[in-house]
Amino acid sequence: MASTQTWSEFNGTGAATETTSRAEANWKRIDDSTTAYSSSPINSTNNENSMTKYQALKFAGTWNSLSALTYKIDNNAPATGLSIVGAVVTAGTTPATTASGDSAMSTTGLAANFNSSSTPYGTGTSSTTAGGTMYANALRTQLQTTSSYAGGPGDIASRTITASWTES
Amino acid sequence: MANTEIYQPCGLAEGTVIGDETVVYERDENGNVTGWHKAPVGA
Repeated sequence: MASTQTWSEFNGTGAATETTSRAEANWKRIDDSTTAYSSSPINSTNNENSMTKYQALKFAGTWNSLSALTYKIDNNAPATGLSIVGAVVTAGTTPATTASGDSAMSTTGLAANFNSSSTPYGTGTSSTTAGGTMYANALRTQLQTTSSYAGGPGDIASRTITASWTES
Repeated sequence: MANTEIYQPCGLAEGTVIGDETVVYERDENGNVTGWHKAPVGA
């Protein structure tokens, strides 16, 4: 037995509209999962922030136990004037470009609970023995910029967000 | 060893106000700046 996992993204009112099986995620100035990031860039000259982005790991398949889930990023300050902030949330808020107030995204691991078969929003529990569908609590991230960023305009390097857990 | 350089990872001083947001520095237990984020003014 083993679980399978996919990444879901959540947009819209209350960050409640799910797009499943995301193969990528881009920080941009529009709250959707379809518009090319190049069509909705973040302007560091104007100290802009991206829309907050809500993602969650979605488990399927069969397992005995899942526990100790964490989210982390490989680099939360890839250049002067860029910060990637993040937090595990238990409720969805309509994405916005105003500062989320979250701290710099953890590079060592933010603990997240396992919530339910239908939504990543809720208190959840630190482990689960149910099979079927299971959402981990959602991760909210945002790319924040200041005019001190010297690398624009253009793409920044890709970052890697990792989810880790214990499974039996 | 403590970091004796002034590290400004966002290129702006802590407390700089940008519109209705302000720059907040994050520090470790030794007082070294480890990151930054923006937060709403007055938050």
